[in-house]
Amino acid sequence: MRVRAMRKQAKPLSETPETPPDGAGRALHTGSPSTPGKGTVFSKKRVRSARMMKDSLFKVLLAVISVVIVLPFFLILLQLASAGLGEVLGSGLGQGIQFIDTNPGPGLRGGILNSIVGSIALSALAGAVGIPVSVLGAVYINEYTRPGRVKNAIEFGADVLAGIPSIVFGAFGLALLVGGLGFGFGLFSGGVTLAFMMIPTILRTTEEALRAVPVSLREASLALGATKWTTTWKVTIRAAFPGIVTGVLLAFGRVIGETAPLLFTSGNSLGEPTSLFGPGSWVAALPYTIYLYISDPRDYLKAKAQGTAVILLIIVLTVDVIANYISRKVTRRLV
Amino acid sequence: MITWTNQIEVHDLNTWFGSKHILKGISCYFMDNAVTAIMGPSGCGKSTLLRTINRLNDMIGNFRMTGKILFEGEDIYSAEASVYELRKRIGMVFQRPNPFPMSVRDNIKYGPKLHGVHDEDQLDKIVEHSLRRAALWDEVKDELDAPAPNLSGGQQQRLCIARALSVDPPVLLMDEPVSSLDPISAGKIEELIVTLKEDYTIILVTHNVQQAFRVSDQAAFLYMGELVEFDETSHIAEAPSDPRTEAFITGRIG
Repeated sequence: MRVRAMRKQAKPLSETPETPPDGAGRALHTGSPSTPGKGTVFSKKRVRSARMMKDSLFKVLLAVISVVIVLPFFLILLQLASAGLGEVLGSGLGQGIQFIDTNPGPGLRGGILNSIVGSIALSALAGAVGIPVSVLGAVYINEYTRPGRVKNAIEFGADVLAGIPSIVFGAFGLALLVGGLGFGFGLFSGGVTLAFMMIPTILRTTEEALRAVPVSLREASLALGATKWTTTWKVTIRAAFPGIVTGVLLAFGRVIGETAPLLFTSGNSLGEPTSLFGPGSWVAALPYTIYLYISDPRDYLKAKAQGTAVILLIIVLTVDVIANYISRKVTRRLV
Repeated sequence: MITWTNQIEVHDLNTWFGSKHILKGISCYFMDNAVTAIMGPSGCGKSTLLRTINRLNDMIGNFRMTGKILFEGEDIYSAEASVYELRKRIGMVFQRPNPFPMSVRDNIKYGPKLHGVHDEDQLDKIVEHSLRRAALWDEVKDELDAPAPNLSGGQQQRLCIARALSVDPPVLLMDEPVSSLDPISAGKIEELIVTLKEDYTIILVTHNVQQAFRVSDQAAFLYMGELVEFDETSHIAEAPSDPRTEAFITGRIG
């Protein structure tokens, strides 16, 4: 019943002149009773201009949306430049070059070298732990398991991991590494917590990169008498390498900007870390420093926070540009 | 009792992927220093037959087979047979050019290095010799270190032939090696196949009847997994004994 009713409604609609060329044309020829005479009056010109109207309206809409999308990026840049560049380019104490090559002095005046070194050390350790685990995991999933439960379980795990809020990683790092295994605060606990965060990104991009390697490339190697492992190592991973690097750099870009996982794991320090474990390993990180300086009531620290944000942004952008460059090179070189 | 004197013999071969019966009771042989064409319509099992000969189907999980394939008198599927040694001695060229993402030189060196050749002088000799055999040397000798994927499609395919020749296999399997190439490149490779047969046993899968007639000495016609006809190419071309073969070569099926 309902279907028939709908059809009844739909029919006259489809033959009214509003429906652009088809409806109008048909109405012209058949002169159907539902459009008495009107079809002939309805000129082609009006149809066209109405359609052009719609077309340009849509164009404007898309342009507005694009501007809305890119606007925040430029606003961030602008805001950072106005608030933070003073620290980075200024010439006072702990400004200019001193901002990046000295440690915080009395009253936290001075530079943020400790945070820069700390962030790099933390992400380097995270990479050293996270990259091999996730790349080898992806190789195992993609090259050595057949589609089935194991593969699905690992992929599901990685996807869930990717969706976990970073503060939960922090809490997990605190419970497992700092407390449970007794590593205490510092470089190791912080770095390994960040490594957990890298795993899903690298695992998934590596898998994607491996999947993009044509089967026939593997077969060519096998057909020459290579073992599966040699084929995987020398041909498949090699062919997927640029894609893997892109994933790794994206993961770096992600973890270097994370505060929450470090809150309860890395400790903090006014100097560079001197060891991997123990009190000497307490380490500062750029995002953490931003967080601390912004929450501080002293105004000059708020300015320093903005300057730190500039430095962090520069590092992240650099990593992104490199990732982009490499991934573009791949698409040109492979197939 | 027939005494087989040929390099590769197939005895009553049946293969399955899962429950799908692909090849049904195939028996044939591949003569030394000759080109044997395996032709048939798509899906008739010709690639499966080819890939059973170098055990590439082993990689596929649900593959099963019965029957025997003898290479130089030995069962290649027996427990003692080394699949790596087998594949070293039976080279393969694929449908689409598939050079490794490395330099031209490294593409050729890959195979010999796998099998224990590490002397650079010797490797260089192999590179030159293989590329010459594949009629590619003159075109690439000045850019051996350029990435192989930058070569044209036809050059890439000849590089793949050179790569297969680099480990000096007596047998060469070719799975529709020209079907993805332009006519001129295809012509060059056809010529190459004819010259290569002086030193190699070549098994060529093709769905192109004219090509099979042009280059092969003997031919097998597969249809729906059955070996319908197996004879000298000239006999098949002139007087096919089975109506299905005739239908195929006159273009009525496939």
